[in-house]
This record gives sequence, structure tokens and C-alpha cells, in this order.
Amino acid sequence: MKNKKWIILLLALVMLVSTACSNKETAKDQTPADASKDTAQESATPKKKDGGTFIFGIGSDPNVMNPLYAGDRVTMTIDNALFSPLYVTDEEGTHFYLAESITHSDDYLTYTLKLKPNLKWHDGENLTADDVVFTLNSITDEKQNANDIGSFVINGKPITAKKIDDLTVEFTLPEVSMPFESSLGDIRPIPKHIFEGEKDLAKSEKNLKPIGSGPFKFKEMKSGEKVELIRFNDYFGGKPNLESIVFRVIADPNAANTALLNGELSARYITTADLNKFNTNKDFNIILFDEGMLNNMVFRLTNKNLQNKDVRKAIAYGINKDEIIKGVYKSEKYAKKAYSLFVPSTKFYTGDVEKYEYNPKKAKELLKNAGVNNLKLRLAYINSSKENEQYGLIMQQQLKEIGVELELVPMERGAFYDKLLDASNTDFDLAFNGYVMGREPNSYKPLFLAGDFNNFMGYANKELDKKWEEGVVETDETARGEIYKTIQKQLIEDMVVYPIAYPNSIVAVNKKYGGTEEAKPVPIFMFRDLSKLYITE
Amino acid sequence: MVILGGIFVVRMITKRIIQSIPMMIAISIVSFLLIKLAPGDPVQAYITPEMGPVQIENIRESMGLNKPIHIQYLIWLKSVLKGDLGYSLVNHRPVAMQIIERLPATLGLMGTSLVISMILGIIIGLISAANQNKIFDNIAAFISYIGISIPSFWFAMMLIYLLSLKLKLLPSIGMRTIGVHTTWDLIKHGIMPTIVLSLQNIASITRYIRSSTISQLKEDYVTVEYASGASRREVLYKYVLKNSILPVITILGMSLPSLVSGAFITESIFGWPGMGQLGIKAIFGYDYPLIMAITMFSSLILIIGNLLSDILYGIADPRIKELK
Repeated sequence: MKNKKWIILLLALVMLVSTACSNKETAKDQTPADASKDTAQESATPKKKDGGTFIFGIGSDPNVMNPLYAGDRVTMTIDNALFSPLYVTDEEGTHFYLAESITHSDDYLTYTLKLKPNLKWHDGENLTADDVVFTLNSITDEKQNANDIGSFVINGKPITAKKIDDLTVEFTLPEVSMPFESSLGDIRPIPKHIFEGEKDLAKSEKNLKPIGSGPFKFKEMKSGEKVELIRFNDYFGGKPNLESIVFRVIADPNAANTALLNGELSARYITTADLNKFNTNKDFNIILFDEGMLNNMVFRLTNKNLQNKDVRKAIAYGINKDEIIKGVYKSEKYAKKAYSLFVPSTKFYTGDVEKYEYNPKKAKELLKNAGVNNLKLRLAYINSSKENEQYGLIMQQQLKEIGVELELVPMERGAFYDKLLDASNTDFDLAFNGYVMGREPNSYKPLFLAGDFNNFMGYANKELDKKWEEGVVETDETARGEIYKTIQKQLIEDMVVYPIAYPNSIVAVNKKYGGTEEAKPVPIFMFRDLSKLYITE
Repeated sequence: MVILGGIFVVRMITKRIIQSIPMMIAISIVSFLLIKLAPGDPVQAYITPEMGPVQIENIRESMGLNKPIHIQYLIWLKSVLKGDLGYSLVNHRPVAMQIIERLPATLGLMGTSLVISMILGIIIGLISAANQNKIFDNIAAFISYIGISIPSFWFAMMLIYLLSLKLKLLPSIGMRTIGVHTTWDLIKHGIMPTIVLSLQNIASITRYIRSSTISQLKEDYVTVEYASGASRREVLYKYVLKNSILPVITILGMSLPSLVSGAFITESIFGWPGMGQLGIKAIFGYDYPLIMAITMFSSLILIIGNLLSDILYGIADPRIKELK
């Protein structure tokens, strides 16, 4: 009897102590770290130091470290450090990396690329026109199944490349194709002297020790642990400041945050939920930049009611975007309201489209005129996405006001994509999705072209299809711009995809690293040119 | 006597091996079907909007995914029987090599935690039984219940928060510090994952040993030993111990597969590059050759583990030998 009472007392004591501890923990989180006392005594302008290591956190091993096959975030990020592109075009203009210039003939059927002189591969060999020609031929070779083959084969005919001299390559197009110029820039050449003769590039063992032309070269990979790169002294953009870059595998986001706070990682993408750990912490800088993504909701036209445009418009008027942004992101700093189906960083983006400002009265009217009441719709999304879950819960409440009942259907990733990609599937009527299409507006075409594999809505607008094709061949910039502005307006008028938000990427970087602006924060890779990063003190 | 025992063991092993073959084949068929019938496939990870249906079909074909399921299975079976476990569909590296790379990390972690759990579990269990219902026993029981109930991921995060972030005693992730190659660094990284893994095992082994010892202590031979003047310590460690730990042999045999399959949650949180992480990566990536290889490997180890513990039990427990 005595023992039992003793145990109960002990139990009570333990519970008391653990609740006290947890309260103390939350209190500690709200005050800045003690390390701030030390940094106050540091000099005001930290000095740039040569050397040092920058440690990224990645969710898993890379797949195939070859730019022709990089499809996932991790592999693309590592490839960005190992392989340089020819050139990159963004809102500021064209930044030339391996290339020096790109010109085209008056009929836009011939393009001439000039490489910079004295380019080197990581193994010391020269990077020349031969490598560029070899890379393009590998991409257009059907047997190699390169990811981007579709960008370089027009209506069944491949684009061809010819070496003019060691630094000059001439590309011949079978037909005019305006998207070619940006697709060409994205090419990251692979070394001919390494891959020539390999039967299957994707399965080649040479991919295990990649040789590239980027600022950092491959040192070693330990599966499940890390990928380590060291600086390439002959990088054309100048010797990188950092001695090495390490990509550490850490799958759990909470553990990764702890590692970041502990100094075991140098930077990582964080979510709005993680923000208060880092923005009051004097050891970290927060970088915000446009992710280039549109979070959206897809209407499945297999649903009879959704085939009526007025019903879709009603739903659009019934959604309060302000409330969603505030509820999910806390502030417009972390996501902007989206009105166009293109993202602002896409060429010819326009915000001048019908905004469908929140108007429940109009929504109810439209539904009444369509003869629809007590509409029940199933909304599907990937169950691991907290963001989607929050969107769904808020929309559910909002649409209840206009008499539409939303049933939320979270799904496992594989099942979701299987059903989404099958336009005839009727397991759901609405779905959350997100896409990053890049700067070239033609990249959006497969999503909206009638009968295209990627057209999840089952949408068909023959007039618009013609406009998309016109956009491919229109050589006059202004006229081309008009075409895509028309397309954006029409898509929103047809309301087959509801644009929700353009989220920002949030990166927390340890303050001891500088050069983050010159390195250019960009989506996916985090920094476009790692050679510009440096460590201080 | 020894020769008879030897023949018995050989016959048992042979019988088991013959029984195992159809079992392994059945396991492989069920696993294969389960994975293939689940929605989704590795090509989904590759698909970008620029790809047309023709290109996607080409990719599927190069992975061998467009053939009927039974043909895919037979192709897999044929290459396994030839000794080729295949190539990962996701990174094209040989499956066998990936498993061999990850095995040492998992063996090291799981092995260490198993040994620690055994030793501590046996000691605590014995002492608890000898001091049944006294203070030591009650505290040990209390901690055991906590150990069995605590979710491992929560415990892991608490340890990391306390020992790594606040007290700065230990590193929080990975198996090694970047650029450091000492054994001490490896040990430092392994301390917290080992604690997390051991806690639950210690708790359950303690309970087993305790009840086994308590029932041993009631046996006649114990009374006889006490009567002939043996001290409590002698009785416990010299006579009772070897009988009490018999259930441990079964536990050891059943734990063998976990030695190689690893603990996914713990490995994920600590970033420990082991088989657990590999297995989950394979599953989420629909990497069939890798999933099959890991499943068959674990099954093989389980069969071997069972066999070993049956043999050991037969040697250790004289009652079983007599029955034969």
C-alpha cells in the first residue's frame, strides 16, 4: 500500500516538472539567443575571408548527377553547382555564363552561339563547341530519353547543331520557334570526352563522378550522408571564395531546423511556421524571393455542373483570397494574391485580368441563374501538404456561405498524381496543384491545349489553341506580347483554373556568410552562382 | 551424445532450408504484387509538362514497366537467381552496392543498441526480480513503462534539443562532422540515436527477464542452493541467470531482422545513413528493384534468425534436448 502511494506521488511530480519545463522552453524561444551578446562586441563590417565551407541541407540523395536527367529539386541544386548553363535570361536581361553571345538570322531559323574563350572542364580539358554539339545531339537522340528532348524537337523534327569553329556553334531549326532561345540558354553542356561512346547516358557509371564546368567540382558522395564539392580554381567567373560546398542529407524538417540553429547547416528553405525561430535570432539573415510558382485549384470538367462556366465563376467569386493569404501565410510578405495563371516572372505576364474580387452575392446570383443549388464538390490534394490542407479548410467555410458544400479528399501522393493525370477520372471535381513553368510563356501551353496529356481539366478552347500556336512563331516582340496577354485574359475569363497565390521562398542563412545578393537567390537552387558566396571574419 | 546432438542440428538445418525456399518465393510474389498494385510509379517523379505521352512511354519502357506484371516478376526472378539484384530505377546504381554501402551504419547502430539493451535489461531485470516489489523494482518498472510508452520521435527531438541545442554537448545530425574522420566523432554522433533505440528495448527486455527470473526463483533448485549455503548473489548470478535468460535467446533471434532493416524514424531524425532511410526512400520513390531486394534480404535474415535461436535454445535448454 505504501509503495502504491509513493508511485502516484512520483508520477504527479514528474508531470508537474515536465509541464514546467515545457513552459520554460516556449519562453526561451521568444527571447533572442544568448549568442547575441557576443555578436554585439564584433566589428560592424565583417571581413571577407578566403576559404570556408557552406553546408546545404537536402531531403535525400541526388538521383542521376547529369543535367540531361535532373528532374527533382535535390539533383537540380547539385547540378547547378557542378554544371554551368550557356546563359540565363530573367527580368534584368541576359546573363551570359559559358556563352559570350547569341544571335539569330532574320528568318529566325538559324542561331549562332559564341562561347567564351579558355573555358575549362573540371579535369582540365578545354570546353569547346564540340561539347555543345555533343550535348545537343544527346538531348535530341530519342534513345537517350533526355528530360528536355521535347524542347528541341519541333513537330517530330530535331534541331541540329553544327560546329563552325572551336568557339562557335550554329543551330538550325526546322521551323520558327520563339521558345528556342530560352531553352538553348538553359542547356548545361556535358563533356564529350567523357561521355562519347556511352550507350546509355542515364545509366552510365560516369555519372557517379561527374565532370562539369561549374564553380565547384565533385569530390565525393556518401549515400545517405552527403555530397561534397570542392572549389574549381579555373572557373570562368573567377576563383570561388569558398573552399567547399557540402550537401548534407537530412530528411526530417524539424531536425534540419535544429541543425541550422546549431551551425551544422549554413542555410535552408524554411516555412512561415518556422519564421519566429529565425527572424528574431541575431545569428541569421532571412532572404525572401519570388518562388516563380503558382498555387492553384483545378476544375475537373468531367463534373456536369462544372462544365457550366457560370458555376465556375460563381465559385471564384465565392472565394476570399485575402482571407486565404492571411490565414495561410500570415502576411502578403510571404505570398502574393494571384490573378493571372502566369507568374509575374514569366515574360509578357499581365495583372490586367478579371480579378473576381470576393463577392458572395454575385456568386449566389450566378448559381441561381444556372439553376444549381446545394452543389456538392469533392476537392482532392496531397495529404502531406499542410498548405493545401489549410487552403481547403478556409475555402470550405467560404463556399458554405454561397451554398456550395466542399468535401475535402486528402490523398497519398502516388494515388493523387495517378488520378490527376487521367483527365477522365471522376474521383474528384476540384484539385489543388502548383506549377513552376519558368520565363518562357510557351511552357504553359501543354497545361491548356485541348487533348494534351498535361491538361488535367479536360479543357478545350479551339480558338485559344490557335493563339498558343501563333505565339510559338510570332517573331515581333510586341505582337507576341499581345498574344500572350490575350491568352491570359481568356483563360481567366473561362475560369478553368483558379489562381490562388504566388508564394515566396523563405531562406534562413547563417550570418557568417556573405555575398548572398551577388550569388543571386533563385527558386530551387537557392543561389544561382555559388562562386560569389563567402565566409566572414 | 554430442554426435547425436550434431546430427540433430544438421537435420534441423536441412529441413529448415528446404522449408524456407517456398516461403521466400511466396514472400517475393506477395511483395512484388503489393508494390506493383499500389497506385503510382517511379516515372511520376520524372514527368515534366514538356514531355509528351510518347516520351513518357519510352521512359516506362526503358525501366521495363510496360510489360504485364507476371512477366516483370519472372524477369526479376530470373536475374536474382543469377545473382543480379538489379539496378535502382531512380539513380541507376546497382542495388546490391547500395545495400552494402548502408549496411555497416545500420549494423553498427542497431548492434550497439541491442548489446546495450541486452546487458542493461538483463542486469536491471535480475535485480528487479531479486528485490521484487521493493524500491528498486518499482522505480525500474516506472521507468520501463515510460520507456515503452514514449514515442521515439518525440524522445529523439527532446534529446537533440537538450543535449545538442541547449547544452551543446553533442552534434545533432549525421554520422560524422564534415571534415572530421575520428572514431570519437563517430561515437559522439551515435550516442543519441543509440539511447533512443535502446530505451524501448531495455524496457521490454527488463520485463521479460524479471518475470522469467521470478518464476525461476520459485523453483526447487533455488531453495536447495540456499539451503546448502549459497549467498544471494551466488544463487542469482551463478545458477538462476542462465535459466532466466532463455527467453532472451528467442528475443535475439527475432531482433535479427531489425539489425539490418534499421529504424526508419530514428535514422530519419538523426540523419543516420542506414538501411531504414534507404528502405523508405525506395518505397516513396517506387524503386521496385531496391524495395524487393531489401524485403527479400530482411526475410532471409528473419528465417536465419529464427533458425539460430531454435538451435541455440535447443543447446541451452537441456529439457528440449531430453525430449528429442
